[in-house]
Amino acid sequence: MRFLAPIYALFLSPAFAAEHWAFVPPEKPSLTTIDAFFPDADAEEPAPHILLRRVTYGLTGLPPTPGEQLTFVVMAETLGLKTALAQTVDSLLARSSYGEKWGQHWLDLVRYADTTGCSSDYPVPEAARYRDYVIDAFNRDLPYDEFVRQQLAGDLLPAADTFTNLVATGYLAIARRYGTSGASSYLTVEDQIDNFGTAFLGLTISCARCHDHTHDPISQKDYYALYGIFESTGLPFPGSQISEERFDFSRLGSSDEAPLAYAAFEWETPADAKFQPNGQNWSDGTIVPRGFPEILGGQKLPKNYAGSGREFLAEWLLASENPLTARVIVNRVWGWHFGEPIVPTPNDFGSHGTPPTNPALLDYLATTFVTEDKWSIKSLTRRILASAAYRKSSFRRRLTAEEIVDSIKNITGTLKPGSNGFHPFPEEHARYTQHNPFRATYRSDHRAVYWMRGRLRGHPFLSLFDAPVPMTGSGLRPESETPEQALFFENSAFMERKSRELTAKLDGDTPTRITQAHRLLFSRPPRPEESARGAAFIALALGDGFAEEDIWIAYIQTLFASNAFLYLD
Amino acid sequence: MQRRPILRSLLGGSLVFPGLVSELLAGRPPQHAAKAKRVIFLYLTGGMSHLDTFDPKPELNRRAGELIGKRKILGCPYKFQPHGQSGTEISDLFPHLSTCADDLCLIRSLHGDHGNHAQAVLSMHTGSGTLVRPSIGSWISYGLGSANHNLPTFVTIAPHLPYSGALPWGSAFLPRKNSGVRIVPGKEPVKYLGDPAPPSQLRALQRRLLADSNRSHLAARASDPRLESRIASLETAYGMQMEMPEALDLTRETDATHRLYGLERGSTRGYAWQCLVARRLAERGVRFIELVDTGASYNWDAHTDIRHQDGHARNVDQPIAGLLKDLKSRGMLEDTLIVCTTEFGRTPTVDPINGDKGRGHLASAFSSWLAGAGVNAGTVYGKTNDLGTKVVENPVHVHDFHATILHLLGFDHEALTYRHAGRDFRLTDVSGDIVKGILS
Repeated sequence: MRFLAPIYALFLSPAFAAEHWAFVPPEKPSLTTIDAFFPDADAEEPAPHILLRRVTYGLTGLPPTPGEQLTFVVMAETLGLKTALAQTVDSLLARSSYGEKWGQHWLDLVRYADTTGCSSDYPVPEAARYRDYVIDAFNRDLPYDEFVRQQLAGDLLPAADTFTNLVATGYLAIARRYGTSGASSYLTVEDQIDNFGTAFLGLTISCARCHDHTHDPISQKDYYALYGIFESTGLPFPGSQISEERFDFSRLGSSDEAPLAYAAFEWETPADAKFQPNGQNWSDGTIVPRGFPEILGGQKLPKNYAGSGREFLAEWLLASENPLTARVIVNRVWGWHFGEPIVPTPNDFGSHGTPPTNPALLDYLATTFVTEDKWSIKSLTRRILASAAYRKSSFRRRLTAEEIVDSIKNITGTLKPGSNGFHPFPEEHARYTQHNPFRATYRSDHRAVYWMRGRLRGHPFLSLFDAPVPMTGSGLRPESETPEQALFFENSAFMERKSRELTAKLDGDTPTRITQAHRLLFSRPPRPEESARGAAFIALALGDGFAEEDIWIAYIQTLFASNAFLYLD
Repeated sequence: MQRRPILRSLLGGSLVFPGLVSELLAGRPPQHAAKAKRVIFLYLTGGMSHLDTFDPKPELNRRAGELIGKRKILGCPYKFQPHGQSGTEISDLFPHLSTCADDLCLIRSLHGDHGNHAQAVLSMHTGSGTLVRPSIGSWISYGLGSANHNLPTFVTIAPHLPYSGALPWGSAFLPRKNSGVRIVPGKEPVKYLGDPAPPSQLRALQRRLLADSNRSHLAARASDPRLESRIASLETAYGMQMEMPEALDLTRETDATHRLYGLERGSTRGYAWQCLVARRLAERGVRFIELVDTGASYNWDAHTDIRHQDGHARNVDQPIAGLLKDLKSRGMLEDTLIVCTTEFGRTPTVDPINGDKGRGHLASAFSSWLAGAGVNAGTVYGKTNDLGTKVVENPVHVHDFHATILHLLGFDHEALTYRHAGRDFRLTDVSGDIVKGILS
């Protein structure tokens, strides 16, 4: 590969960097509303029920109730669709289900799991505190800059709320562990840098471990400058096949009895990293000072700095000159609302990513997010959802795995509110090995965001509907349509049980029940042909001699399996 | 009594949307003429000892007990003999397979990068031990597409979960239809497959209601491949419910066939059942069939006593030989590639933590074999040193092994790529050379 070096050098030239859009700081465009960036838009306003279903799922991951549907239609008639939507958005943002939906977006991104990922995939009960922290941060609208600071350097921040700040560094602690030892090693540092790069910067920095990045201006020196920061950060040892003894957990309080946090801390002797020419955990002895990638400012720690430097890392990330941080998050938020981000590759803003479909809009959102929204995700959300672009978008997506199971339980009245706290991991002396790895699945009727996720396995049901295996951060949920999913709807005991529960809740004559079912599942009354089809189904099956209850269960189960339930418009 | 026909007319007649399924299930154009149309991937879990199976090392018995560093050399308790016209040496752990020696293309020079199970198993399946990457079966499914719309393109028959759980047959970023569908013995061989009995009248009505609702849902919207693909997946599911039970039904297989595989009639136990089912799935157009012999425990990982391998060899020996002979007699060996492999080899020395009769993990050398379409039958490729710890001739890295398998299926491993997260990914990452010496 050596002969390629001059080509890399060419790519790394300042001229190249200046040409790639993502490394040029965003400038505030003269246009001042989102809709100004869509001058040719002439689509029609959607029917109110379509919009209500879209926004309710989008913000809370659950369907609107029949009562909310009726209210919204009246509001839209009297106040107009735009005002009705704005009021509804305010009320949805105030629900705890908002954080449960949006927390999941973030947890995907940071490859959250309740187990370590070592060969025996040891469980870590305390990881759940970080999960709850993320959900809570969205609910109380913790400004994004503060959210970033707390996760990267919460343990180093002036102690306003030590509990929260320490738990937030669970972001660092949940990095993957490897092999039978399960100790954090260079592979764990590599995993941290990889996730840090994709989640916060939208850059695939980890390519630079072994060689200068082939297509983005990230050098190997840049990589090892970050490496020193992460390597100087201590992580708890959560147990493994080699040793059950857990250590280096932080106490959430001064007493010896205070609860434990899976949190990061500072090593006593922080140090710059040694350069590893081939990324093979072997060094030629060159020391690389801790710092930030050259292309993003190249800031270095103060000389002989006695800490890892994570608090500086957070500030470099949030500095106004950094062209990426704000762009990357507003792009994600846009994508989480529209199904498609402006930069279609949200984890790769580099030259192999796809350029923004509307660069000026991206820059408008990125600049106003900092100066006007003050890093508030809820303000950004209000701004985006107030646009005609949102209302009129040709939006379509399938419900996510969590939305499918949460809504089915919500509709049947069997969803439990709030967090289920720690998972019921076996208490003591459980010996997990690579031959007998930890592999439980726990039943929970709380929302799926609270379910136990194994790092190596994900969750068997949720992965059926495309929830990622949390080994690498996921910026976009893929949507698959597989026969196994169809079989789940047709044959699983779960669907049969839930359809039976809903059947028991419906009352009145056949048309009334059909209407109730459509409102609950599709968030709208049935169309005439749907009512007719439903009535025909019931009548035909009765004529064939099936029991009435079984027929209704079959009917409900069919509605759950239909595209009208599974897809949002 | 005109009511019923009118009611019937409200539920449409057909479940099928013409043309939808075949378009959605097509593969990629091949890059050159393929020798193989399908793969049967025999996976022996836990790290089969090359020194006790396919790579004879007389030096082990000559120097048994001698110390290398702090570890004693462990002699091989098995006898090796040349077999067939080729004279390929195989140990007496495989008396049946030895009779097929002239069909095997044995590779004694495989080597990999990982010495622990979870990573080595992943690496042998996906090319990466540390990241989530598509399985080789998913790549082949993606490349070849479907030959039978009623069955999945990639099936894994795995009674127990192996190391790394379901990741070895996961499709990662490739479209999910390319992930392996797991089959287990027992009442519900495929998750949620349901009752093998023909659908009841009520079920038939349900399916028509569903087809109708989806049809009018689709008609009210601009065309959307996702909605169409969802409808197609329902059709495949119905097809699978009919065809999968039939594919798994061995009652019409003759007594002679049962005997060939060493399978007791009615039994769904062991590798014999897996191998016979594999042949039936191969006949029905499944592209990649993996047979995982054991799970993450009680497998070939003979740390405490190398003779623990006896039972695992017994489980697979006659069934594999039966499969080879059966395919051959049906003319299917010509276009089926059989791959038999494991995650790593084992050390010539004892594993001191676990007594003095077992062997440790060894990633630097191990054996695997290919048979069938396009390979040099009756040959041995590559060589290890006297103690079998290092490859000394014709090394075959896991990436080279994968590149060669793709080649036999008509794909250039550097060109069968998938764009994800801004990069073109491939099974062989950034390396891999086709092992020309084993091609016929």
